[in-house]
Amino acid sequence: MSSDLGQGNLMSPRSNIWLLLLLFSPVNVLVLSSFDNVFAQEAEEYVIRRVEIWALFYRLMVAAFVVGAVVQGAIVYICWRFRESHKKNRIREIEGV
Amino acid sequence: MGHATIEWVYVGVVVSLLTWVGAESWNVERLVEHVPPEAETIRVIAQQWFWTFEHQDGKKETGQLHVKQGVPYKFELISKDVVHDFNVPDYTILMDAVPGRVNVVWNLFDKPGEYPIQCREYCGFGHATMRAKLFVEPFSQTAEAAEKPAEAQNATSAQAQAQAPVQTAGPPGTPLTILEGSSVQGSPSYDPATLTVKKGDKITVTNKDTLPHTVTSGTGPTDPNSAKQFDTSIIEPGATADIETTNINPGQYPFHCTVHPYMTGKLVVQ
Amino acid sequence: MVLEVKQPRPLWEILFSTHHTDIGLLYLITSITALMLGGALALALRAELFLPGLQLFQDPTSFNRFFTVHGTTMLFLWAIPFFAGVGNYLVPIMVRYKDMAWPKLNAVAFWMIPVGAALVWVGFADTGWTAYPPYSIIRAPGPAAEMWIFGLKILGISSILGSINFIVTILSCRHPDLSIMKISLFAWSILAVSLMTLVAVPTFAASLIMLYTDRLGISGFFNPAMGGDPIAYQHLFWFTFHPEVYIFLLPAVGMLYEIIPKFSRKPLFSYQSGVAAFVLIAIIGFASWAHHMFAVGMSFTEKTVFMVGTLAAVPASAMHVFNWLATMWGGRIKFAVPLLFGVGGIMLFFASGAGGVVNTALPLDFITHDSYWVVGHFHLILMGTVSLTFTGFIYYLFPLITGRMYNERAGQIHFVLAFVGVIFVFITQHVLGLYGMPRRIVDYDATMPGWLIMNQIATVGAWIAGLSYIIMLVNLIKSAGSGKEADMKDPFQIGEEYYDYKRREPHH
Repeated sequence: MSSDLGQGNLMSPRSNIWLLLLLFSPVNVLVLSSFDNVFAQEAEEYVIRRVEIWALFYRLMVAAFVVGAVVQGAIVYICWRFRESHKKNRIREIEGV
Repeated sequence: MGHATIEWVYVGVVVSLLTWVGAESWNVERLVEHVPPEAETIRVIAQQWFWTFEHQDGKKETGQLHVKQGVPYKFELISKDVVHDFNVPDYTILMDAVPGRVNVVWNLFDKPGEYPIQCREYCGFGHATMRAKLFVEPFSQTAEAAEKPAEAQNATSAQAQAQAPVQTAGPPGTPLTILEGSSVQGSPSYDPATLTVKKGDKITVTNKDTLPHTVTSGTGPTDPNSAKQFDTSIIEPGATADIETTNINPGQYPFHCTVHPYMTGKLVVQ
Repeated sequence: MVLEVKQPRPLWEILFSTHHTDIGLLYLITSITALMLGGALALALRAELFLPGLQLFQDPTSFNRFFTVHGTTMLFLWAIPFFAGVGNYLVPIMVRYKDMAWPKLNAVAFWMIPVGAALVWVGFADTGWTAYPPYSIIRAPGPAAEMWIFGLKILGISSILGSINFIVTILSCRHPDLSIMKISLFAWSILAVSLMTLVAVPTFAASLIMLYTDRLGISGFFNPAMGGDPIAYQHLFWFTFHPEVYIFLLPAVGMLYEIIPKFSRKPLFSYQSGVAAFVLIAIIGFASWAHHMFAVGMSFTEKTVFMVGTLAAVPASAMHVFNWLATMWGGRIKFAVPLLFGVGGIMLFFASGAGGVVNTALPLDFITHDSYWVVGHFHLILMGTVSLTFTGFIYYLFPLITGRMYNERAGQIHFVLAFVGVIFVFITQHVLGLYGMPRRIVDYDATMPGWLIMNQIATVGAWIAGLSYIIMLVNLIKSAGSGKEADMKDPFQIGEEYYDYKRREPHH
């Protein structure tokens, strides 16, 4: 991802990359910390695949529905607010903008 | 490029989310893929259009699978013809049975009960009805069940073995032959296609094909009265089975093969 | 021809024409016909599944034939010819060239489609549109399977020829004043998918030949009885057909880039990010094919690689969505029928994309693989996003092609019914998949919890969507003959010069 930023001034203090790193470092810490589980839970107790898989499914569904609500909400809001019959758009029309 | 910042932030959010999804999935996949070394092996043989299960102790089952609660099982999947897919939706078990390969999937059954087994990869005519039943025997009964049903089954198989020589020694019943090549749709299957017997006669079914078949009353697997009057269950290639007509009232009975539902015939009891 | 009302031209003149607008028109008519026929098959399939047991179909084989031909028709005779038709119509105008680079090759590419279509429809194979061996080799009844193989072979060659033509037209016949970074994003999408077609399709073309010689018994590439490997076919197949999914999608994306700025009365948010996303997906689209095969017994490493490859393709699509929404933001949006379909397509695009991420999240494949979830997922992208956008574009191009306006009210009803129908069918099918229903089954066990009611909801939804497309067909045919004359400068009353391109009369 970061290499896509390109444009030569990647490391300059004003580059967006610092903002991005700041924003996403907590996410990355979370991601990396989850890897510990893998090596901790070998064999000892049996994994019940049904439980593990459905738990993962519900975790992802929570994320998907949250993101989905944001995206679909944004679409609906944009369609409602910027339709040509909206009050503010009508005023602009009268002013001749 | 002022508006680019917001787009980069957006792309960053998307990439982070996807990284999280990937890491979580990788994690869980690793957990469920690790087969415990002490797992009991069950060989699952898929063919058009039924399932056969071979337990580690050599016990064979067709169309149903008995497992014990709390024991890890390793399923080795093979296919005799086309690609099938062994699926127990209630336990999220899913793996293709590919001819020429042995695929492995393992599971520990934690809840006793009866569950459907189905084929999830398109395999032709009987794909929709390629089902089996999974019985998870409760843990508390496991010790008993290990002895009793085994004994009972031994007893029945012993009976069958005891009966078999008697049958061959005694006069064979009215012959009904399953012809070679009957598993191919459209070719002749039962000989004679309409079999007429007197009530009380014995019918001896001989399977001369290279695939297992059945003789089951009813017009097909979707017939609600299927197997009500008579059912030989699976007859292996080259084997024979008997149908007693003592308890069948005079009349006409269509029959079919549960494995290959297009194989049909008719039995007339006088 | 009904669509040339102003100056009636004899039918033969259109049929034997090599002009890009005529061939484009033929492509469009062919593809809309295929959409109706394929849709009829789908309605029959759904009607059968309304109740358990066999009602409509006498035996499972005819059901299997129906879903095979339905899939083949919708993918190869509706989606591909439709964007090829629109491309034919618009690309030469957009790059300001008199015609396609090779007009005769163009006609040849088109006329291969009816031949391939005839083979597929007369044969009516039962292999499934994927034709997985060994079933397609040792069990599928001939000559239907052979006809399917040759039909697809011809359709594949046709799309390769069409792609070569597009690439050359866009790269070499562009007006000298027009740099590649100035052509419209729709032309970019056609360029991207044409390049992808050239890389992807030959693999499948080769495996079709191997499939055929396997069926003849002279080779055993995919036949385990002769030492072959059926999984090899699946790799070759999906190496073509996963990129093919993006080949269906990108033209729809390009069409949205045409529609959205126009009806939002606002310039595109970012041309560069649109181009970048096209190029990205054209490359990354090739790194994810085996996510269709997680259940065939792949190693953990292989699965991980293909999961990463699949997830990597998501940001590019997300960039498109951002671009559309940012374009609409602050605009003055006119909800004419094309934009209704466009916005509907964007809304469903998120749902299908999220479903795709779930499919590729490794262990979740054990829940979704070959279940109705997958059916719901890919129909949501192909019907929900791709076909709804294509439909919007039919309405968008209608005044340009016919010089007349369609009935706006009927178009709106069409959109509402189609959108509601799609949600009824395909969202329900997602849930049905979670309840464990396998795909491609003619009969189901009604005692399974939820299966019966969800199948019935899906069937009703399919009928609603089917009805909506009948409304469209009537609307288009009627309006082409007797619709009100369109104002060719601004048919949708946007208040500015509408098309960037002028209607072109075919030369003779």
